[in-house]
Amino acid sequence: MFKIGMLSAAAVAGLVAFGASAQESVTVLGPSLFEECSSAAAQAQRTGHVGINDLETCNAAVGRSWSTVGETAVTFVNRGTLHLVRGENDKAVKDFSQAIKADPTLASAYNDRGVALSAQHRQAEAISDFSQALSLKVENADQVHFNRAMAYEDAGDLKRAYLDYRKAAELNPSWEQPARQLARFNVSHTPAG
Amino acid sequence: MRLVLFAALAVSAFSGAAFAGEDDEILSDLVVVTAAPRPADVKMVVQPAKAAPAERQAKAETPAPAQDVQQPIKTASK
Repeated sequence: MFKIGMLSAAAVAGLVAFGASAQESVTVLGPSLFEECSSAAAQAQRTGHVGINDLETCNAAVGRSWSTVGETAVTFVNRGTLHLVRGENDKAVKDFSQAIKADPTLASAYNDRGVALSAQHRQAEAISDFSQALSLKVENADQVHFNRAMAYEDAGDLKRAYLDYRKAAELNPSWEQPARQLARFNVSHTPAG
Repeated sequence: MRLVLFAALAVSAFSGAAFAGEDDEILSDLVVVTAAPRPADVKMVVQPAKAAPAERQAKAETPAPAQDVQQPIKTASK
């Protein structure tokens, strides 16, 4: 009898404690839909392959009506990345534009839209987006300079392409790609004086 | 008078050069640029966005506590 009393007291105490903590914070078990979508995009970017359920995950994340502005923007970028990897450039441009609409300061959205626009042979718009990403202090500026270099090159502006490859190499000397591209260039300078 | 005019022109030229962008200077310095075709396997870099973990996000959305507003010190008027 005493034991049962002790147990029930402990259970009540536990419930009270649980109730109090439940009021204070909400604990999320496992990754959220936003994080799952983010991981899917990162993996797609690395492997060049989109998993079977990845788009559904990102669609569900985009559909969350109560998501914050930040979550919405990030999720559009990540779904756009999936579209880009699948070669669905129109859909990718739309998603990146939605991300920019939600958060005009999200630098990666400009970079990624630039990539999608460049794939559509819209180099002038792509260059504008890469420049915008750089003006927003993007995290991996070397990558954006590299992308802009490619867009300049495709637009026929070899001088600016060369300068951007050089900047990318300067910002990240351990990254081989910019140095490899620079090796293709033959550059002359005006004689001094 | 000629000396003053010369000095003004020199100052103007100097400030113009100072304000010109670094890229423009390098661009005008480059005369000939040719490039071999870019290999087809060179791709642009896509940057997926990182979703903040739910807990960190919730913390970031919590409004900061109100700052103590310093009240003006009342001085007794004589």
